Amino acid sequence: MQLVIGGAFSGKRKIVRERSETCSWVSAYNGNMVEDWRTQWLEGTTLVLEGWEQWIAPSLKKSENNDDIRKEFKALFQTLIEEEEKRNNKIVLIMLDIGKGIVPVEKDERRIRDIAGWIGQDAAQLAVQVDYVWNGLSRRLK
Amino acid sequence: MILFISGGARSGKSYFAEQTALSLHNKVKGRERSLLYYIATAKKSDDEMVERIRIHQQDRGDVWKTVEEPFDIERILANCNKEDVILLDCLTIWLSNVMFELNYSLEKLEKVIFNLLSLAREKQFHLMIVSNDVNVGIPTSYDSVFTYMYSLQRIHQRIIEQSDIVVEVQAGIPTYWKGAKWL
Repeated sequence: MQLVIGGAFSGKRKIVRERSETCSWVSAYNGNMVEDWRTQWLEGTTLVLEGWEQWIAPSLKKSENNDDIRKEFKALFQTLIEEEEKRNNKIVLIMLDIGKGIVPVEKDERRIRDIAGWIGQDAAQLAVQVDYVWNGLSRRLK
Repeated sequence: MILFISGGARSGKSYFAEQTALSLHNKVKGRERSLLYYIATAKKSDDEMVERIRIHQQDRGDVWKTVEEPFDIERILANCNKEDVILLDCLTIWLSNVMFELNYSLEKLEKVIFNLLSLAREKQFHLMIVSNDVNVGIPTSYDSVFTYMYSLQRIHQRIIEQSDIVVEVQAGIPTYWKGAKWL
């Protein structure tokens, strides 16, 4: 599993596309739910998952506890890694860096921002490669 | 040479850009005629801005030729010559001027940026562009901010593709994304 992280419109998709020939995209921006990966991942392709901050949003209602939500995502990453090994194909997670601006006024936005930061750390820990994207350029962090 | 410098607010990017421009100017002026320009894009909108501008000008001293131009950068660059060093500070303010006051479309923006970069190549002056990374906060729900952020990222990437040197400044410390060998 690889992680590509960077700010909004920084060129994250472009970098993923340059690296993998054929990808199966599971994107919150195209209306996908995160669990769609099971049905969307085509044989012999790289699975790309993006829009994590949007997938975090519905879990806020399910649990008051940020840590429980974090654990659920971590479990998902582990499932993904197991499946990746079974299939012998790659998985790339694209995450939006949203932690550097001003602290949001809305409580839910603060929760999303915190959880997004934590799952980013968890994903980075589990990933074999981590890249940060900045204005169309990328730098390998791990 | 084209240089792109970016970073967060108060990251020291302007200071770094000014020092780099000065040293580049000092390097070339021994062998060629070179003028050092500072293109200020901010408008004197209120007393606070007037004061900020005054302090900036005082800090820079009289080596610099300051040109105030909120909109038409192309016109200024058209009059620059080989080996001049031109510092444009900052792109974000210019972008908000032309997007919100002149209603530039993304297509028009990219064309203007293309022209500025082409002028630098043709006339062989040194163009340094300073900008700000505004895309790392929580996603905005305002359309105008969203479009602004998208446009800024697009033009950053167009500039970087053509830049010889690309620097990110954090806490006053430069990280070279491209072309460290030149400096």
